[in-house]
Amino acid sequence: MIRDEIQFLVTAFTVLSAILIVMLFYLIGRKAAENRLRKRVEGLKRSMNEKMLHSILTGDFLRSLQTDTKVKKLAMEELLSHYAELLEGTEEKVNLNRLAESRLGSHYRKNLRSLKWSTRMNALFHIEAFRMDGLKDEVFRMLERRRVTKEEKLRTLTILSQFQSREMFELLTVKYCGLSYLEFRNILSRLDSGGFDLFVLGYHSCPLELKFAILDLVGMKKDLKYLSFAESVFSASSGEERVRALKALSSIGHVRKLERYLPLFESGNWQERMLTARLAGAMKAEAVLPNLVKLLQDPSWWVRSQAGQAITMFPQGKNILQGVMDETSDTFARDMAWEWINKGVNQS
Amino acid sequence: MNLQDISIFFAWFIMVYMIIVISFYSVVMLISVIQLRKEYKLDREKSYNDYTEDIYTKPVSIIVPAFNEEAGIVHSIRSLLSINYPVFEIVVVNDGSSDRTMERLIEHYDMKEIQKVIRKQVESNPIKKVYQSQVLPSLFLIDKDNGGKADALNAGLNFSHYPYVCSLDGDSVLERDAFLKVMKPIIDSNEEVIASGGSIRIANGCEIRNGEVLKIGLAKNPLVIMQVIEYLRAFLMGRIGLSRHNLLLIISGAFGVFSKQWVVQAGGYRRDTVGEDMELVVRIHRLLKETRTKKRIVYVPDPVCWTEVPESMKYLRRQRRRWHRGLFESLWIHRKLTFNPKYGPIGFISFPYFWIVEFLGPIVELSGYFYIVISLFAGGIYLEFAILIFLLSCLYGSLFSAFAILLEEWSLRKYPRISDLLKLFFYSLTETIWYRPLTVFWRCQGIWQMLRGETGWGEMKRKGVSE
Repeated sequence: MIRDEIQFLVTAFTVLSAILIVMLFYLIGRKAAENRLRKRVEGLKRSMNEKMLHSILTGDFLRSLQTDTKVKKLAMEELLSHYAELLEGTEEKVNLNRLAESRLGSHYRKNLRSLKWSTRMNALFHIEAFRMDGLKDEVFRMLERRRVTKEEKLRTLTILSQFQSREMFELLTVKYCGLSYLEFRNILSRLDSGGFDLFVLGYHSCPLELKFAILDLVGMKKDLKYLSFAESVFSASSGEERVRALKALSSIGHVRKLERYLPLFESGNWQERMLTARLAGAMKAEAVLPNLVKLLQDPSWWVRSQAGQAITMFPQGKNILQGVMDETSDTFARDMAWEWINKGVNQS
Repeated sequence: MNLQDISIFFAWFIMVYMIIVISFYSVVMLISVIQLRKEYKLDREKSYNDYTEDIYTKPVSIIVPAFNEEAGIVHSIRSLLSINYPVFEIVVVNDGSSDRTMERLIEHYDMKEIQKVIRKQVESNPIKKVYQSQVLPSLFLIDKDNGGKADALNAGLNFSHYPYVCSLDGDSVLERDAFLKVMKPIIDSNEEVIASGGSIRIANGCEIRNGEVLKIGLAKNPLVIMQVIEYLRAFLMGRIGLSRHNLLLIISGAFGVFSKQWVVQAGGYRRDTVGEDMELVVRIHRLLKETRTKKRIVYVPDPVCWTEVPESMKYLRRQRRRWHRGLFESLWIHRKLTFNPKYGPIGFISFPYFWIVEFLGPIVELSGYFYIVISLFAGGIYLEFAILIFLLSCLYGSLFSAFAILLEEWSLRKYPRISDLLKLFFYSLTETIWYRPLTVFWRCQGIWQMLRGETGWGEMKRKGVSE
């Protein structure tokens, strides 16, 4: 009976080995073909490079820049990717995107409809990198398709946002209101000022996570025009939303009446104490210095550290910290003062 | 029951064991293939580019424990300084080296002592001094009393400023985009992923200069080639498959990023085990289950950290014994998880897998080899069993390895030359005949040492990977 098993295993073994050998041959063939293809693409890139640069710089597309073969498409795509990362000028960027559209547009249109996930994703990546807004409608249609993965939807929304699509507000507040705040933030960060202002205006009809993203971006933009918006959100909200509004205000570094925020030094939430310390430091309001010194004894390390930093923002900051070191009996406060006095190089 | 019955029963036991393991491997392998298939030919560079300029990317503290590494430390740090990541700091922890590790760093990077208040969040030996580079403000050096690798990592954790930490061996070389790649799952998942490990490749045979991999190549030393195959197999098949279902129990100490908050909450690295990296991952998993938090630990197949592996039998043997002890300690400390319904799949799949396949496997395999040798003399029915066992172990050793080589060539393609591919493939087929028995023997020795209560595990010799 054991012989049967040996027989079976030997057969299985042979079959599997045969499969592996076949795969090996296939992969060797593929590797050889790919090494060859790579060589040709590199050669082509070298010969195309000059014409390409000329076309991008002048906007005059040479007819000899063609993409009728796979190799040419690849070479063109790689060169364009290279320049898309490199070029800064607006005119060059427009030329690049026109060139990409005229030579690779139909290629990406086809790839967007591919059955392979990775092909569709790569097409989206390139459309984004080359800012091909001529393909906006096709990209938009990605959202309406069934069986589209979340990654594709996110990428699509990011691209639409980059194209300053007018539908963004509606898309994000109605159909895609379930995204997380980081995803929202990544999408919104690509909008220009006009597009973003629509979200600020419609703030109250946004889902909570989107509100967080808007507040975060207000902080990032550090633009005084959003000051009254952030202040009004702060005074009308509570909990996490209020903390984020305060964070935005502390990044802007200004409020109209600092006195209104001073009670937050006594807040039970350490984040509020820390952010208020940061705000006070940014505004260099002499009146709050005693409060900041007191925060050097805060139980939370973050608050103490922020208070120390805020004090160093004042012209006489180092002297004040020296005074704390000499006088206080609180070891926390002394350590923190010592640290900020001895901060040799600025650490971000 | 006579001797014959016993030996036949024993043969069956070995075979059933092997069949169970083979089936388990096959399932894991299938999951990996599906995963890799989906991302086949995805332009990964593009998908990472998204974050290069993303100012919201999380800052990372890189902790480099260094104990007597004067030969390679300056190179390693230089390689770290050139990584492509927006905000990071490097914290080198000199763990009481007796050579000039510290002096070399101080001279080379113009370091000055600074005063820092350090929050003691996890246990570590006292820190003597802290230095900061005058030229590169994000480079720090901590000098402390010797306390072992885990202790050094804990000191680095206490000092670090950023919410994410990465531990890195002093003798590894990172690819420039490694951090963008490992951080991606963390960012993508909105911090649902709290630890992310990267794949480790072998630096022996590659051309490395100034901490940068110039050319990927394959070493000539057969021991190294076999280790290359072993690493590929473990990473491609094992970890991708396990990671898919959040069953991952190892993030290699050589390259992994953790959310600091969770490491601190779990209590930092444990100082009395030789497998501190695995133990920490297990402890975090445990913490997640006990606090009913829905977080994940993942493995990214692509990011690459190059590390040097032993080239001689002597050091390879030491390494394997030590690994095996580390594995046992992690499993033993957390033995409560085994088949405990409270811990879900970790308790029912990962733990049994690590106990049965990884820890006890070598004993069964070794007895299998003995069986084969003895039956060559006994002949008759035993010989047939021996053939069966041998065939099964070929399946389990060689064929899976050969498949892993092909899988790597199909999906990730790191080795550029066709001759390398051929070499790897044919070497992998020989695994069952020599390399596997050797490692199995060493791991059993590890168990034996443990039973006898030996401690200490011998020092590892490095020749330095960079020119």
